[in-house]
Amino acid sequence: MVDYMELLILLLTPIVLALFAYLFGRNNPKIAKIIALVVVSLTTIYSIVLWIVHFLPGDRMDNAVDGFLLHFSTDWIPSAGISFAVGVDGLSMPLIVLTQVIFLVSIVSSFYITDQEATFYALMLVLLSAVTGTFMALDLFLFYIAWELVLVPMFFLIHIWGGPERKYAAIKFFIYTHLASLLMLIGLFLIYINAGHTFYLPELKTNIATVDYKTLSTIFWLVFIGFVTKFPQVPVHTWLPDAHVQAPSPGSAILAGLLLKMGGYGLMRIPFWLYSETNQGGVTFFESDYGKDIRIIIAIIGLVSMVYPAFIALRQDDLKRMIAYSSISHMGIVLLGLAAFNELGLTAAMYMMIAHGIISPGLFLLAGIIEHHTKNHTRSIEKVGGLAHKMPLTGGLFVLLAFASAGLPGLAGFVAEIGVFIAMFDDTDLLGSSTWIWIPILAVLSVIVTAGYYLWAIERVIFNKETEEIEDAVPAKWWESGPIIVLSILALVFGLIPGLVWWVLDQWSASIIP
Amino acid sequence: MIEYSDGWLPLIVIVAGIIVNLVLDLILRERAREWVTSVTIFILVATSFAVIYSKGSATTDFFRYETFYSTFSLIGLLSSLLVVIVAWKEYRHELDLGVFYSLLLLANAGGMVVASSNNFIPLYLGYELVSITTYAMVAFRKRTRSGAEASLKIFLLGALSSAIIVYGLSMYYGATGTFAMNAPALPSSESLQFAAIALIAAGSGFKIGLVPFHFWIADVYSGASSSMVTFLAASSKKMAFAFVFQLFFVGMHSWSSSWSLLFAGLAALSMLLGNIAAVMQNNVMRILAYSTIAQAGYIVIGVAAYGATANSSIQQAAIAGILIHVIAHVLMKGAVLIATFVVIDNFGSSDIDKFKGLFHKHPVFASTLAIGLFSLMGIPPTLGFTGKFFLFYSAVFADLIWLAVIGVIGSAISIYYYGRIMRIMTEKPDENTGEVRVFLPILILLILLSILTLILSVFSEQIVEVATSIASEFP
Repeated sequence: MVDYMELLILLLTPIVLALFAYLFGRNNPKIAKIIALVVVSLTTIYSIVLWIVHFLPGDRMDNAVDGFLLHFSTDWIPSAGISFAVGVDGLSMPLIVLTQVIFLVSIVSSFYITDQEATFYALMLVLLSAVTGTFMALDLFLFYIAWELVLVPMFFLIHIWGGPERKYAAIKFFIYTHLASLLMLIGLFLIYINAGHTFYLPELKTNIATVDYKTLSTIFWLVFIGFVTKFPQVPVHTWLPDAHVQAPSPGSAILAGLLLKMGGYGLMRIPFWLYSETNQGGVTFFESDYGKDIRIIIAIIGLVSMVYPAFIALRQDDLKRMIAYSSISHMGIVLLGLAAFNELGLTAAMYMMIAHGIISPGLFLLAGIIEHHTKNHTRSIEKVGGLAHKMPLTGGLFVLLAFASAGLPGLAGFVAEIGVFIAMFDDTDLLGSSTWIWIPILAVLSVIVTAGYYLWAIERVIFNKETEEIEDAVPAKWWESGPIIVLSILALVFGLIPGLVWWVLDQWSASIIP
Repeated sequence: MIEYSDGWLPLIVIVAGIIVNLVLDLILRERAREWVTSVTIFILVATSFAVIYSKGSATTDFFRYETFYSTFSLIGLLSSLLVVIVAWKEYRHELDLGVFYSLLLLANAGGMVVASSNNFIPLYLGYELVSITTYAMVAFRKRTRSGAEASLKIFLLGALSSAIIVYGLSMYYGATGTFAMNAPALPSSESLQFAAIALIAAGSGFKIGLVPFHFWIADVYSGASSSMVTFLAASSKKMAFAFVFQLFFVGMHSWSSSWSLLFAGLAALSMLLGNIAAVMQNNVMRILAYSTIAQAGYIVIGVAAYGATANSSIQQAAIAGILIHVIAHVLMKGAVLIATFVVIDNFGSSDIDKFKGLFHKHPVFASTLAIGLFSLMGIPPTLGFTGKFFLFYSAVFADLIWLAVIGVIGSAISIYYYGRIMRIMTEKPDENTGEVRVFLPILILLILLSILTLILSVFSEQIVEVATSIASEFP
């Protein structure tokens, strides 16, 4: 078995250098800033290099160990079946690259922070390691550790640098997601107990094929609670608007761009990928009666989470709160794609995660810029108006990203949405059948609402008459608009050439669909 | 005819230490403080080596010297080091420090007898030795009202619970006709068995502070001196756990199906009530007192899971969880308590407001406190997480999913009050609230504790192996 060190470097560099950023940055905050920027730039470049070298040149799966590239594993607590194993496949690698890019963008956009900078950048680096670790862990114990470790820096980021209601938001975020993760942990224990007393994912995948479908369905619901709370979907979404609104804008960007994706990733990795080799009575789990019930229920949850937050977003006055509700709505589309359970559905759902991971951080950062440039530091849609006159670039970027989020053709969001919708109609056994056809129809119709709140916000914030709030506004600085330009270009590129990642995702979903 | 056994060596060392301490105190008086402190530390370390040496001595009717004995004796001895250092700071201006240390060593002697017992008679005697020295040590700060209240409370309730346990043991004798552990029951003695289990479990509930026998904890914690609270939480509680494990895992092993559910109920109550009561407190000392109840509840999950099944791999997981969480409790609770005493020392009380701005005033000190709190919450990568991980796992494995779910809910509640302390620590300090001064040995101790909390969680394989060998010793 070959061990690759590449992922370890990617995983450990930030967390190790976080300590130095804190120690050397305490007296001279500039050093902390530079260390964070250099580390994240390097990991970004490195991850892109890994992506190009290991994923682009066609089929490199002959280098794979247990189906994973860049595999590394070593014993950790062998008597309890716990190992330290990392590796990447077509699902996790795009998310890892996305993680590095979003962190780079967020760190550059954090330059406005002047309070306790050393601590801020150290926490960002710890958070980077934890998020990266969640995506690359191949051992459920390691996965859970990384998953929980994310909470700690995020709690402090919201609590120290957040808005006026930050204390409430930080503790609510912490309690909600911690409770959900512990329920998920019980689900992980059931997996461990039923599938041969190991936490190593590839082994579990083989062993779980013999577990009866009733147990698998119990396990599904336990881990589903854990993932869907992070995701988040109605009715466990209430922490999200608070946390997103109160977090500092770079924190919101990371929350929306990556922490939500952890939920989606977990959902795809643990039930969908893990159950893919089940074959009892000639059908895999998600095609059996248990699986069909599950798919209908998650489709309904996804539909409700798509439609209901969209209406809430329509009446929001706070720009960030509106974007937060639109995030829930978009994650509903991911869940619908999973419920369709065909190749196109899964691929489009993953594509949605990447598209949303690019677009929503951009929108949150824009909301942050608007907040910093208005007179009373407000994000109220009512009070801010006519931004295009004073800050044309910011206004233009906002229009572009809002359209991308609303699903305008040619931009990243559209590809994913259309893919999910086609996949749902295509699922003639279940969602496309005459009993449930109303689900995809309603989903398609609700896109109107999404377009509605974005257009209305654009009209009022960007194009109306100038209000006194933006009298003194000056064009955004390079480190404010630069990151958003990068994200906007990515949104455009991924909208025009979806093939850049689509086929990697497609290969992955083809491997788990019977 | 009693013959010498290597197993006696640690007891001989520790009793010699007690005599040396008393004599030094008598001769040197004012100058004795540093002397007795160093002698006590030396004795504790020397006894630890003696314990390791004596492990594996021949088993007799009354004593056995196995991994269980060495592990729990070492936990007691090493956690007593915390008490020594806290007392060094606290009693620096008082005489009789030697007496205090002698009582501490005597309690450890009792703890070692508990851990090595192979019969209910030495087991009970050993634990009484721990209890009585504990009462005397709580009464050490007799001049304050709250101190007197605390000592009276712990004495009365402790004596009551000991009486209940003795009564239960007499029922055990009635049911089996012997005081030997794990003896076969006499025919048609079911009602006596149940009476024995119920009485002994109730008495044990007092000793380890489970709901509904928890009322003394909060008052004693806020009344007793800081070194005493450290002793109660870090050391004596671990001896009490050793006592309970001896009683149930070994002594009444064959009746496990009867006591398992009882302990599951006690654990559930403790985790819920302990955590909910802690939410309502504004004084950090009282928060910690209630959180101790909740933490005892988590450990008792392991007891319930152990008893619920005869499957050896579940029992191993339960013992691993118990052992890891017991060690974690020494480290994290020790660190948090000691840090709280530093705050009391500096600002006069442990009201939650006094913690405001600690991260700005003394980052290193605040970080050690924060790591302790994260470990109590069960956030990885700390030992508190690893402990909870194995405990919840053993509960799920033993088909006690409901108990694991209650533990999970309790854990989520606990985030609120630990998070509250953490939040107030990160706020900007008010003007004129003064610096935080930390006695250097205590700061070093705190740093050591938090590093161990982090390191041991990565290297918990060793603890799991010890747990496996303990599990194999039990009948």
